[in-house]
Amino acid sequence: MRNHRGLIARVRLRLCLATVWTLRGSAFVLLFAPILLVMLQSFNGTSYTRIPPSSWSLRWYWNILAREEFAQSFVTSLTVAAIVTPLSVVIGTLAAYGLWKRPFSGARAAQSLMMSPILLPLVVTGLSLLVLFNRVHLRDGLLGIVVAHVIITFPYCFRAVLAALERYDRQLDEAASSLRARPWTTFRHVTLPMVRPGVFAGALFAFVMSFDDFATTIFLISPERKTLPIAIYQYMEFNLDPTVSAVSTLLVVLATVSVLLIEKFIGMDRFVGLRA
Amino acid sequence: MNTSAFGRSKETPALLSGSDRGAPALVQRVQRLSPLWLALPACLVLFIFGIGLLDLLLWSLRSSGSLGAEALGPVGLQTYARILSDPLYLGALGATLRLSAVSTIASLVLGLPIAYWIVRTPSARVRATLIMLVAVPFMTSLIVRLYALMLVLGNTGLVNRVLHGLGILPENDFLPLIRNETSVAIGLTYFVLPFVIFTLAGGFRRFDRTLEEAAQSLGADEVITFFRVTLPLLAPGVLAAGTLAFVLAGTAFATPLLLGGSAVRMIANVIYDQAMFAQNLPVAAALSAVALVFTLSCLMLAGRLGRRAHA
Repeated sequence: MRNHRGLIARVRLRLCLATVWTLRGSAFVLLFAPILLVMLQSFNGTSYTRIPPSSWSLRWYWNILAREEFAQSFVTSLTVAAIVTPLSVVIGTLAAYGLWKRPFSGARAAQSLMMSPILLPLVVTGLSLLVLFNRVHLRDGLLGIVVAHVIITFPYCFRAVLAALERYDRQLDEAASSLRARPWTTFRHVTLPMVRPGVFAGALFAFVMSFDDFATTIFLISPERKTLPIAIYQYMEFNLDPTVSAVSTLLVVLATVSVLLIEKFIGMDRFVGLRA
Repeated sequence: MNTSAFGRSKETPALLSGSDRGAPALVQRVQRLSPLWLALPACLVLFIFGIGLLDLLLWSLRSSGSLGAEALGPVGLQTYARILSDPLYLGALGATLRLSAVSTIASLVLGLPIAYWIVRTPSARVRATLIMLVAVPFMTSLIVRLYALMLVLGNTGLVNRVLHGLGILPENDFLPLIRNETSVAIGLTYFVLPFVIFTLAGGFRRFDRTLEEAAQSLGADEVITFFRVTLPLLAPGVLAAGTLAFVLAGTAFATPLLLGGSAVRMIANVIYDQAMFAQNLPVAAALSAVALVFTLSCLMLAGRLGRRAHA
């Protein structure tokens, strides 16, 4: 009887483990099969999708340079992200510090309010800014896209810095004040160095979100000024050749390099909120 | 206490001599202000956002009009009545709920074993590798990932090629995996999976192993311990990840656009089409309001359930 129960338990454990490993395998296939396939296709010699490729070529990479929309939109995306990131970092960091420094009763509500732009659907943000910018004649320029991206990225900086501040010992601030350090001096030389990983994590998040945003930006672009994700989408609508695969491969490489850099400098686990 | 901030001797005099006496009056006044004023730039940004949102919601109360033109019709709820009686919009709302429910469940089922692995692996190297592996797709541009998924699911894509190669499907036939609800469901699962894994792992991290050990010392085997003890303890994390997945999938725009084409319209796509092509801003605005209510009610419900789970 006892042996019998032991056998059932063993079989059940085996079945459960088999299921768990099947699920893990499927999840990684889903996450990586598309990315690996797109890299393979970027070296495809024919001008249509063929799996596996029958010939190999680098010409789609040359085509990226020949088609000016990719280079132009890449520069636009980079410019926008380079303007947006410092703005979001400053706005988010100041807000997080301000709300944290002196606790008050409505602090939780104020935090939710700060996070509200990323809780709402991106399409709704895009459309409402389109309506607003149209009213004040702020269309067809970089400024509108920059404002939109600050709105959808500064909450990430706010959240990352606030999370770092909540781990930080308030007594250090009090010690500095008791030494008659001025608030700015305390912030600059005591608090900021302690929350620097949070600031970096927020900055990277803001950069990536700004560089990749599609749903908000598509409302605000003009034919002359578009960001890279939009240019890729528009190219895909009319062309099926592997040029998009080549652009995609470059962006996957960029993402991989940033993951490695984040791991090296702040730790990926901290970046995605898995470590204090 | 970490003293590195004080350790630099150059800074110490500044800290000690930091009385306000030398500073100009303006600086003194600024420094005496409440630190809450530091949130002013953020409030300014939120104000722009709020004004835009308010403007949009006001549009939803009119009956017709387009961008740059005057809003027409009396102020009222007629556009909402129209949305809720038109099968086109109801269909989109139904598809939105259906597809986000399916992809939420699928992403939880696929994400849970990986999140559990990340949290439970004894090896720091395995843990770091797993996190980085999930982070690469997470950091890759969504448009790129969706294009890549189109190559997998397309009629001449990877799945169909494999099915042909194995002789499961005849060469002239193919499994329709693109431009239908199946492809959008797969795409949404793919889109939310990294978010789900990281949220689950974040929730699992804060949990205490002693209850599991107690169950096992009382003779429960691993499987029973997992389903009876571990899983209920993980429930708040699962709830948080599920809510995030449901909200992200329910307001997704690019995924149904690329993988569904004109065959599958979710609420975000209808908002875009109505605003930009049909020039029907009130309908787009009213649907935006519906999307807002959808998101906020999901978040509030999850918040309430979460508090109950913690209590």
